Amino acid sequence: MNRTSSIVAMQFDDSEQQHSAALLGMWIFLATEVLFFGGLFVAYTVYRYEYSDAFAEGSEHLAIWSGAVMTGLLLMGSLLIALSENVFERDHMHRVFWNLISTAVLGILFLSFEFYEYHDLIKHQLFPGAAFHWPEKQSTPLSGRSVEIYFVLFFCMTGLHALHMIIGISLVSGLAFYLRYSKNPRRLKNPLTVIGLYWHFVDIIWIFLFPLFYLI
Amino acid sequence: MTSAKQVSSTQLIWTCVALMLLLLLTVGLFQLPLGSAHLIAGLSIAFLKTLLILAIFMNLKGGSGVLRLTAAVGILWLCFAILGIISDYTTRGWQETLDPGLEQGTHYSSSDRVEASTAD
Amino acid sequence: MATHQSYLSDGTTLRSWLMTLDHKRIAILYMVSLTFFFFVGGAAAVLFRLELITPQGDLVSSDTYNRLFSIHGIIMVWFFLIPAVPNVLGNFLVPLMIGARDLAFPRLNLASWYLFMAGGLFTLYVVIAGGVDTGWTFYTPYSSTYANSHVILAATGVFITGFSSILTGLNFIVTIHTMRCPGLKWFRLPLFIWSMYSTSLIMVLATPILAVTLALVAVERLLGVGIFDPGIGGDPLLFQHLFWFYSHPAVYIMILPGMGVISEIIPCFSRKPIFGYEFIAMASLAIAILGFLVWGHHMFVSGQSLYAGLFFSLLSMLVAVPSAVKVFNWTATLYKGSISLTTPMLYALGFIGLFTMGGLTGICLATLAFDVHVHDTYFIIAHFHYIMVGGMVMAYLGGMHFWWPKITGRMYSEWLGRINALIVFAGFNMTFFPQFILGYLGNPRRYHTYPGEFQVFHIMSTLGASILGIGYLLPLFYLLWSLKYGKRACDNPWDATGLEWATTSPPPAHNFRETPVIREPAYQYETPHSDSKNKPNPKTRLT
Repeated sequence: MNRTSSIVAMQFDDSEQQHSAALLGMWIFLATEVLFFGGLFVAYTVYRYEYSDAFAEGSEHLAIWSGAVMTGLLLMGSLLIALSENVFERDHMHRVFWNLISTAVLGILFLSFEFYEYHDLIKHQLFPGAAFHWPEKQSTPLSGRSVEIYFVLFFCMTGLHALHMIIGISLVSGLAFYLRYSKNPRRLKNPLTVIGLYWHFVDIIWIFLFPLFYLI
Repeated sequence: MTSAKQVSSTQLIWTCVALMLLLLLTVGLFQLPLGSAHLIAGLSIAFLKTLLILAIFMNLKGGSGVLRLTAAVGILWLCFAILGIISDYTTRGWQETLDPGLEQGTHYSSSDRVEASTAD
Repeated sequence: MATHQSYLSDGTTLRSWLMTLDHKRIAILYMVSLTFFFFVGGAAAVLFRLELITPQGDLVSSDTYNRLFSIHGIIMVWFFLIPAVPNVLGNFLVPLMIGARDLAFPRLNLASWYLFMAGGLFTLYVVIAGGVDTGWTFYTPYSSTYANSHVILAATGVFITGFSSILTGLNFIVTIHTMRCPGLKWFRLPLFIWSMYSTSLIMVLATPILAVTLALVAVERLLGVGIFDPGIGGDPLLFQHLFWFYSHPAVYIMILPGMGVISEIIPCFSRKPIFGYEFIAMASLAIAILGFLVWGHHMFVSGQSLYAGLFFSLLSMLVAVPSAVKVFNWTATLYKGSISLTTPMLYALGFIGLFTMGGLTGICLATLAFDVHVHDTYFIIAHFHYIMVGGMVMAYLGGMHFWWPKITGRMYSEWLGRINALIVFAGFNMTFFPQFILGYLGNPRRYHTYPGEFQVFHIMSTLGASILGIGYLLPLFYLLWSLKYGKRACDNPWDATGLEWATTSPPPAHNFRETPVIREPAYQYETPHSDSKNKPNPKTRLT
């Protein structure tokens, strides 16, 4: 979507048309992303309805403070990237660069917390599959399995979110360096807006994952 | 779809403060013994946060109607999926035949299997 | 005209085709690859139709039979029916019809062709490596636990192709919203654009759910956890819900574009403005939206709650309303029109009849009690082939014949075209009408053997299929023949309205020499009663 060869691409009449096409394209993409995560949210709803006790048991293995800090990190990143658009309008490219870099660093911090949490769960044999171990698994045939489903959903949903974070961090830091070394940074307005929207969207997904997995 | 008005920096910062306060609120509420209301509280606060981010950070406030419609459609369609599917699970095993002579329909769902040892 | 270079002569190297950003060339890329996939899927159908000549399983084993119908379904649904009209005709026509130079994101458009081909190669690899035996629906827990064929590979192929259709849909919606030429208001758009818009909505909103569902099946198979396997805590009905939340709307991806094609052909060869323009346009949107709320009618006998079944049954009947609105409006357009039975028109008329049959049997199936009786029988097969093949493939062929002069700049042999339209119609009915009877009598689908009393219907069906096969091969030859020996087409051989006919045949690389301006509604054909000496010429409507 980031066309860089000229300011207005051949198929558009003017930069305004190009800008609205880029915006609408990104919003439609985000709507498809809502439904992409949506399949998992549906699965979550159904299993939360069927196995509400198992979900409560499973969530006790997650640290609420860590989830809260992670939410905070993402919100800070969102603020910085939203501010950088304002700064961009006033042509302070140096500050845009540092805003974007800080956003990426906050994202990396978020991922470190998340991967530490994964590490901890795997250590306690809570990663679903053959290695999954739950004390009650032996006593009744399926009770451990329903907790396992909680962890399947946890790893799938946060994992997909982490994948989006990794893409987001690469986009933001890539854009930062591109902006810094570009001869005409003004034409990166559309990419900046579009990548900002993506970051905020990934943020919103986490805002829902936090209460659904940590606060049960 | 003219280019949207920018949101001022002070507005952005205040929004972030509000989001942080909501985060503290949701963690704080979780410490209270609310039982199943936790889910409602958590989700309502999450919706509030989402609205703030959509309106201010993502600038739907100054965006065109088409963009708002796109965002609404994305959320609405997710609601279609969730409501349609959960309507099946919640209505299973209700009185399924009005004729007393007929045997009532039986549903075997996965949760039946889990509680098999305790149910009967 | 000669001074203006057409898009076809704008570079002739392989590279100029594979790296092109021109929507018209990408449409041709899709056309070639889709035709290939269509004949691969068709070959599978030939094999299992041959097997079904006799009641015993003497040609292929049950295992091979399962793989044959699975690959037939997977290829025909995802590699032919869903992309057929949107990606070939839509890609070619959407910018032309709205007076734009290209789609909004040409690179994305090319990328979606590459994604499509990547998905296709996965699927072809599955065919070579031994196939998949789950049916095109990948139902769990069979697909996730028991099937020992290449489920993950096939699912990956479909997953990748899904993204291709998401990107195409996104591109169309953005293009239609932002790039209409001056004066082209929403209610002046050709109805083909309305149906493309509705189709794109479905592609964008439904396909992601399929992607994530298939990903979950892969996770379940890889980790051995029970997301959909009831034996270890999962829920197989959840899979069906998620799958049909995509796949039922996807059925409308397979028919809405066809309706768009018909809405272009009918007024042109009746020489009348289309009857009830706004109703047809809104019916497209209504089908797209209502189509999302009816998925549960695939699960009446799967253990879904009775109340959900009632709800979905009612909504399914509601979808019939906008579909019927379209059929009535097409018929009303024909009424007192000056009809010429050209090749595209024959396909269009065939479409109306066959689609109505398919639609009416669909209402039967939406009725709970009747569905319990014929569920998973040949009745279902016949019903959806009347929609998919009788509807969509007829519309695709009709559209190809209608726009062939514009796409290639050549005319095909009109007589061969007309004869072929009749062959397809006859072959189709002979193949699938007996299957309604078979299903009603209780012959279940997906078995390679059947009781001897059904043999006569199966033989009729196989015989019809071979006629249908001729009907599909013949256009391949005479259309290719026309490329070299066909008469050169003029800019507007059908005297049709619409911007695509206002430019040269074939169009120049950037579609129009100058941006067109629209001053009146679509389909301004002279009615036969008025003074018809002045044939409509779209150029007079342009400044």
